Amino acid sequence: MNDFDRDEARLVRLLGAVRAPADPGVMARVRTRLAGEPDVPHLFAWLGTPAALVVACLLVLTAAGMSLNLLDAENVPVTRDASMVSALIGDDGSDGLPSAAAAGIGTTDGGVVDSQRVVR
Amino acid sequence: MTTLASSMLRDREEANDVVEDALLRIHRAAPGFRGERGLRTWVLRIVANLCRDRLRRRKFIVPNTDDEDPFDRAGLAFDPIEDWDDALDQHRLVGALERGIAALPHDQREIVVMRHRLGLSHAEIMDTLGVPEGTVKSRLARALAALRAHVTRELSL
Repeated sequence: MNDFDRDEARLVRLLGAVRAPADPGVMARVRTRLAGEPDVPHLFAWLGTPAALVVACLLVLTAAGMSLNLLDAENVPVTRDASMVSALIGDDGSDGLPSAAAAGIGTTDGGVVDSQRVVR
Repeated sequence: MTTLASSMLRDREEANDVVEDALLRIHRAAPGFRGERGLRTWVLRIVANLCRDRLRRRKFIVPNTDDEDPFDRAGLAFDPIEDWDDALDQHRLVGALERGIAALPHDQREIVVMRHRLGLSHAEIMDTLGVPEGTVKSRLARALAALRAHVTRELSL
């Protein structure tokens, strides 16, 4: 072993001979601080964990998937909705009233509406 | 924990505050600890991070490296080596060594303390600090060279 190695070995031994004794007051302070903390329910504590984030993401994905499936299953034709809305707001000239044929109002002759029958 | 904090911060009170904060963090994070890194590595990582935060905050304070008694202020204790070469005054040497550690850059100081004071392996230091093995080795070599130079310079005065 040369001088260089011997010097380094001595330094390393000296480095290892130094310690910091633990202060017993630290543990007492930690216990006091822990006792003073509000008791968080397990659920709230769990919500702060990465597992909660994963579960939340899975729930969002599941909900999105289910919504898409429901929309596909319904398969509602848009035109029907549009005509219903038009009828309700009177865009088709009916002012929201059912058409004469649908209301059971017949025409007497030549397509003239029996207005008295309508009033009655 | 206390040895790492005291060696890093060179201040007994601040080291105790760091240990206190670290214990609280450990208590809160313990349910999520999976053990993949090892308990010791995990605990020391928390202490090292807290020490770095403190050192970053006192960035503009000039460190006092001329402490007559570098042990008392830092809260460190020297356990004399029994089979020591009597020709070398170990108390004087270790005093110079502590002042040398205090003068090291933080990244070198934490590695030399972890390796030679706490006895961590290179792999454990890599896990604790999250740096590659080459960095651990190069910082350690630079730190030891600086310590040797510091001790030689101080003892030759």
